[in-house]
Amino acid sequence: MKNLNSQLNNLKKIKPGIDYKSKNRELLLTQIYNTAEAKPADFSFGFTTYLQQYVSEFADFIAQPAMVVGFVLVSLLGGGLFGATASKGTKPGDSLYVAKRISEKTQLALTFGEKEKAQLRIDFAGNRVEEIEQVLADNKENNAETKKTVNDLVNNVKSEVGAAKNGLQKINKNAKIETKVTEKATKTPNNLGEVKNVAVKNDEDEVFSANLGKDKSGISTSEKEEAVIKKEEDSKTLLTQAKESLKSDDVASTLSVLEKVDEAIDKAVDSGEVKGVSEEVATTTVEKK
Amino acid sequence: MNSGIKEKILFRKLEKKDKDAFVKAYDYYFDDIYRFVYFKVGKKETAEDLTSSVFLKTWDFILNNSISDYKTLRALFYKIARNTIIDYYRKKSTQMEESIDTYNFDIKDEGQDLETKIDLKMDYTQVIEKIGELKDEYREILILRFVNELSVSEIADILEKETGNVRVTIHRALNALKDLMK
Repeated sequence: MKNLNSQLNNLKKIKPGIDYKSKNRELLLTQIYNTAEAKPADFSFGFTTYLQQYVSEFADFIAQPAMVVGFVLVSLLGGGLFGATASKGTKPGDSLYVAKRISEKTQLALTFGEKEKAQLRIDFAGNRVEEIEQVLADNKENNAETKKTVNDLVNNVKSEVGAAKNGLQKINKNAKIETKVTEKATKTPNNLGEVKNVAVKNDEDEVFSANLGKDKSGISTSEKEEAVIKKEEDSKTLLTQAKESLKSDDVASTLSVLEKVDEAIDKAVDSGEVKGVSEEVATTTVEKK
Repeated sequence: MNSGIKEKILFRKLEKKDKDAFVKAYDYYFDDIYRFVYFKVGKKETAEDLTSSVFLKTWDFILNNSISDYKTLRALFYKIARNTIIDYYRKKSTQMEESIDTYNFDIKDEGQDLETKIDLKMDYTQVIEKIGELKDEYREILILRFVNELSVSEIADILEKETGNVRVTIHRALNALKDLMK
């Protein structure tokens, strides 16, 4: 009978064809997004459910004797359970690190809107970068366990950045569709080409520190400054830039900056350092044309 | 994230008719629903058509109804799948007990070489042939319990039966299959 159970269980490996599944998904997406606007999920329904689920998971963890002491201390400090100062600077291996991660998940679950979620995810990616710095600083011998922890954190950074990009790409796509629709609607014999541009930015309008070489006013920079600027494009700086771009609703710039984060963090970890602001101050040698 | 929590969160969002949540539910449940439909109807192409129909009908249902009465999202999908299959046979006006298309299925790609895949298909084929010879009630319950790994209480909810009844049926179905495999 045991053998029969396992034979039956193996049938789980039977699956739909990949082509069929993906084509069907596209069809479903078309159907769904062509139906009437669904009401956005609001705050009130979610809080109790999310809180119940996450508190229940955390309660199991905190029930361990050593954790009870830690929990009491946190309560006495009055830091609160979520987003507490006590858990804010923690890193993997610290007793309150789980609280920090649960707090992040809760924040994300209670946040609605792709832009807002993307902002949070960029913050979380920044947190992971700080944690990598802390782990590397505390474990100079860089043993196998440290490497694994750093690797996991790097993957977390990439995952958060990837999710942020996906969300922003949706915003970008919707904005482009809206622009096209508006363009068609406003095109008349007397009004050709007038387009109500909703939220699409031209890629050429991107301006951030690494693009000084493209400055149109004719000022060029020295090689030294370019090297310093390149060094400054570390993951933390890029994430800060991305957040600033997103605050000013510049989705295209944000996406462009986020594209560089994965490579930046890989380089930084490979070189054994993950730094925030560059220690060198750029001295610009400007040659006016 | 724990799958139970994930399902609950999706369910809450779908109560508010969240489109993105439905797409995530599609990704999460599609394989299980396809397998269920495949073993019920026995033909790959029919299973594909009906599975697509299940998801579209579920979305339509969510848009136009309250789903609060359903205990879980999984139960909702399976109930709609069962009703879809019943409607299919009603229209087709044939017996439900069709033979299963034993060689026409795909196996999850776990990097096996071709020979291993063929061996696996042969192993599965024997069990699938015998499952196909069972009556529909037994076939359905074995797929829900052992292939898609639903709990007894979930199965009871989907089939609208008592849990005791479900346990007895599972036992009888296994015995019937065991007899066929001798």
